[in-house]
Amino acid sequence: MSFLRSILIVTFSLWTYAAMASDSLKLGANNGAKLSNSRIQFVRNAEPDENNSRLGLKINLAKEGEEVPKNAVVSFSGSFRLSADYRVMDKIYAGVAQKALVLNGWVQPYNALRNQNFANPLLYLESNIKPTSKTSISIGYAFNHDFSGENDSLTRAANIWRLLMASAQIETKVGKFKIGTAGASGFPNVLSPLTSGQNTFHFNSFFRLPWDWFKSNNDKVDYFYNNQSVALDPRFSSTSAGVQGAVLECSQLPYGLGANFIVGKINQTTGYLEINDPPSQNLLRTLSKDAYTQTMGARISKMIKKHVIGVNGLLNSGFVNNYTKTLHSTQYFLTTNGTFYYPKMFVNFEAGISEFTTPAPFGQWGKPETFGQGYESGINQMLSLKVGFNKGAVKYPSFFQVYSIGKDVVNQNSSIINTTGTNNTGIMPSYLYEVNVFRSCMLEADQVANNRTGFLFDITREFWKKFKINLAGNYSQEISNEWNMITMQHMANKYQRSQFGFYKTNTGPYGRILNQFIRSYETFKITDKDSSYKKNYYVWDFTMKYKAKLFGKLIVLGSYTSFNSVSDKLWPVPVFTEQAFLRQVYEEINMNYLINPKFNLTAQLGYEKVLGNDRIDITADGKTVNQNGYSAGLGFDWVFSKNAGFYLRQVWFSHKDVNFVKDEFKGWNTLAEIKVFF
Amino acid sequence: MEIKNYTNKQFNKVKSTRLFILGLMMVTGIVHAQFNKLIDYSGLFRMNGTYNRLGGEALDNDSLSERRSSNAYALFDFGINVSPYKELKVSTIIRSRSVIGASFSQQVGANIMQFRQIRIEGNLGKVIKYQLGDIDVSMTKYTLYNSNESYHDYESDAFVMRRNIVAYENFNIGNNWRMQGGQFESNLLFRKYLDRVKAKALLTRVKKSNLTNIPDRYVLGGSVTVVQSKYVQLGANYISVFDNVGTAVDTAYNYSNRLLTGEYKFTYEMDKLLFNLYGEMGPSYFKYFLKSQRKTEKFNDYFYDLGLSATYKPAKLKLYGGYRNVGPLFSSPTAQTLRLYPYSTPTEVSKIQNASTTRQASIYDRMTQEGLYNQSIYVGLMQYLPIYGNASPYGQATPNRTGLTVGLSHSDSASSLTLDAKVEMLSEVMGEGTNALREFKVYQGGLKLDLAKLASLKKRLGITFGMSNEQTTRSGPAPIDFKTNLIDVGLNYEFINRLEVLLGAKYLQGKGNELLAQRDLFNNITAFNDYIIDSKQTILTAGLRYRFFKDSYVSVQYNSFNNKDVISSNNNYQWSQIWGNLTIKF
Repeated sequence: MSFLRSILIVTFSLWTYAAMASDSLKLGANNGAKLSNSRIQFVRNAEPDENNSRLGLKINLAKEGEEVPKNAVVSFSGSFRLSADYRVMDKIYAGVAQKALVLNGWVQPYNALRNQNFANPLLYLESNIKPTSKTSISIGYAFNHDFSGENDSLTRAANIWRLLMASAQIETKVGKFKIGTAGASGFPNVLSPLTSGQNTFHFNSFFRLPWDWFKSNNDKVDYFYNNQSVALDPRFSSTSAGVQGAVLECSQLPYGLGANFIVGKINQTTGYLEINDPPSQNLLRTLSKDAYTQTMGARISKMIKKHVIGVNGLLNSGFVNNYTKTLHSTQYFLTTNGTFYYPKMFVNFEAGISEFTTPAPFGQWGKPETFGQGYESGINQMLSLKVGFNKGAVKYPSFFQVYSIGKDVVNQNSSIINTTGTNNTGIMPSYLYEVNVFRSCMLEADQVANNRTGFLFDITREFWKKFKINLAGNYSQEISNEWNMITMQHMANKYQRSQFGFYKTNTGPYGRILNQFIRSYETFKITDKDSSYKKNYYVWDFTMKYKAKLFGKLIVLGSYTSFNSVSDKLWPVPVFTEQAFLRQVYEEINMNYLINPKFNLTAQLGYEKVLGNDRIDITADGKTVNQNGYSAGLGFDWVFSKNAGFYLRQVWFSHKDVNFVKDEFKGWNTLAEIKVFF
Repeated sequence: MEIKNYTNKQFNKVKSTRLFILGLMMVTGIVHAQFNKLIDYSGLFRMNGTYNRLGGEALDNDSLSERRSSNAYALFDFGINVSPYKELKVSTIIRSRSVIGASFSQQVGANIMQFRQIRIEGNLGKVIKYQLGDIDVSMTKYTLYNSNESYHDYESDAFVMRRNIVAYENFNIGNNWRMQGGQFESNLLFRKYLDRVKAKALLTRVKKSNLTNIPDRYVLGGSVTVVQSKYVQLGANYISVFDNVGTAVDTAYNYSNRLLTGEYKFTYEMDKLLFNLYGEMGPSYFKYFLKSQRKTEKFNDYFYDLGLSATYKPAKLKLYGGYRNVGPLFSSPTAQTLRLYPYSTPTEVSKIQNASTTRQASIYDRMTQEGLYNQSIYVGLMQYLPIYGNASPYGQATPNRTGLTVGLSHSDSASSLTLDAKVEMLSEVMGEGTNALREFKVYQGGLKLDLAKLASLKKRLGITFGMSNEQTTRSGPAPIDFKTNLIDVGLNYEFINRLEVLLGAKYLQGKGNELLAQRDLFNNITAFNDYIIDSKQTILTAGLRYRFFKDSYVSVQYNSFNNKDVISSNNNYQWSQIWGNLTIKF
């Protein structure tokens, strides 16, 4: 490939040098004739969306010459992207290709199957129809094309199960009603945080997320300065697997009432694992009596002045034996929640219960001693109290949260991370592609998990409007010790690592790796014979952001430091001695330098250190986990038009365990992307 | 219709600059954002249906073969074209396709929504024109070229209509290959010494790794043409097909083929005469490692093709001649791959002889059935059927051919007559299985007469006539004597405004014996199969076409196809087909 690169570089150089002698080149022919031949007619520009200024033009479906109905319009908006991700490894795990070129996928599809780039629409097309002034319908489509070179239909298909994310809205005198149908991940936050919330994960601005919606470098850098992490798009991120089905949202009802209802089918990677049968993603099947992984939920809320209280119920149920459908598992969630707003603070609470029952003769958690007995969890608690102090009201904007969530509260569609190892079928998740179970998992600073009682805090201080620091912490303790294991999320090189066995668990040279969508986890075994203790999990995150002028141009520097450890000792600060089973430090420095509004030079350095003690996995000669991970990246965001940009990232990365010698990889990765919004 | 010009104050404040980032990418010139038309739409709707009846000796005493069938589909290709500023355009086509009558369990495969095309194209600094995504690529006939499946230059409009649908469905746009990747073109003007330099580079992926044992395969190509003046033009072309071995864990093979050619064209012009001296030549380098056999095969060969033409300008009459020599081991997969699978199963009435035998795709199948076509690059020489062209089955780049070509042509858009006649006297360079060489004689030509233009009629009236005769002979211990004749006749007459009657006839005869080479993965001949035929294929077509506007029409045709196999009457059949089509393009 160096030969290829040389040719390309030389070619570009020649062209550049000869630029002054060039003539203008015309673009190629369009696909089809001009619109003047058609019955489609532009009438006016779309109104700007509340989130961004969409440029979709509305078209009239009326015949040519007829008067244009004022509201009978359709508008299209969306984005195109072409991306190429090329990886070359000097060292790599056994069984993983040394090189990989992923076109338009951004992640390597698992099993090398085609049309698996579901999370990365090459074309996202949204059509908005407004038949009357108070009614609107929008339908989203996602299309893939992974440029296999074989020109078959499988490689260029519509992404059916993320297709038809449609919603219709109508305003009446008694309230607003919005009904939506969706592919997976269509309905985050329809109920409450503990029943249908969404998780957050750390991603900085260097990381080029496939759904990145920023059209402007200024906006992106500004967002990065003001927020801890770039948010994930629930439609594509798979962080919340979501529900495929329908939702009815009723707002502005009389007496301040509101109501949301949801019915659908749980995604195959959520709580109810479907066995031996491909998942049905079909709404009709959802509504049929044969549905085996269905969900139903409702929320009734009431506004009292500015405050909101509500009652939420969610029922997940399904058959774990798909063919005979005799083994019916259910889990219900019943909570009440509310948020009270005061001038200087807010208080948010949620309290409820959940119960899980399955007759599945697979045993609790797959443990041999309970094999064949089924399982009844009994009542599990879901408790959360959060108090926040607003910016401007206090010197240090902050929030504090305590929570306690029972071990059998398993709801992949919520913000609760499943750390207890069940997937609600009662089956031990040894299934190769079951990647939503993180046994005894170390969390990020603002995450909550089941089988935990914890305390979170987050404090921010800004100086001179250009220097910001944030300290966040997460202390939690297991309610019961379910696993002699610890699962840790790798923070360095998580995207690259996630491709070495994409969407697989029990992979890697020691079978310890679990790869999720653009994230990677590793599970270590605790070797204690007596494990009659509860593990304590500690997280401290310290973030600094600084913006200044360099040669008259805006530069934003960021530093993110994370201390993460697990110990059987309960201490007020993270245990960073040999008494911790596992210690993880991650340091990340990043930069955005706006050379001009069109061109942002961006860079990142990352370092991760993971140390175990002698009570977890050890090598044959008695040595423990001792990992070092590095990454260095440079790139740019060249927004060459208001709606179009070219993005390039070049990353060098490495990882090595000093003692587990097979656990080593090193290489570089280039990502180039063109994105056009319309 | 008012289209708002989108301008971004923020962008307009920024002066155009030129950025040089050597090592990552050379990028020139940021162009001011100017938004003329952000988005427009194009589309093609087609409803296509056939009703088939099959009869004849092939179905005698046959109770199982399908005698009647009907097939239909409707599709809509919706093109969304976005141009955020004048130097950039994104073109996409989304396809919805429904097979009429396919329902329930058949729906999954039959009714699809598909991403047919995405292409981003634009100019960098007004110097480099680029295209990314689904691109159509071609270079010279020896380097990168998608040859026609058979000779059909002078067909009836009734047949052209059918063939155009097949071409559209298979992305056969001219002689381009549809690939995915990027191509870059530039056209540099000079003030002194040189008129211009044209250059092109392309990189595409033609096969995707399965991550285990099949690696990614790419095509890398480029050309530089130096136009000194209108009298002198020199060029060089490079193309390679190669595997990126590291993209699979345990690579089963490692293939590469490189080709470097030089081109020239010299022109001498007089008052009424124009002389051109032109040619192309170059070597090819083949290398193939096959892990299962622990063997690496390497061979090199070359070709040259030298030509001379004289044009009498007042009559636009061109006389040309050439001599070519293409080595027996000359390898150029991007020019030698067939665009059609000759042995694939027809999709309409495919079984005969008590449904025990698959009917071989006929000339009518090849002209009308989309599913017979190939869109991938094959690194081995594909099997072909001599009846559809034996002298140059792999196009001009057919290996193991040498000889003379002489032709005469007349073509002028203003004229009512287009005609062409060509004679080729070729032979093999090296004998296959024997020292004796095959000899090929080819006589091809045709004419297209626009009688409406000739007689100044307002309505369309035209006739076409085409023919091709090929003779293959070889003496010696394994003699070969094989002949084919192809005759095309067509007429179109617009008897009512926009409504035309279309008549067409096609006759193909093949007679004699040939030996078909069987090849291994390295393209080496391992055996020969007898190919003995005495068959006649006839198509008679009558139809109507009503044209709404350009490229939009409704048409109904009746087609009668007769397959006569003298050697085996079991293959004799008559196939009647009514074809209806509605195509709307905007």
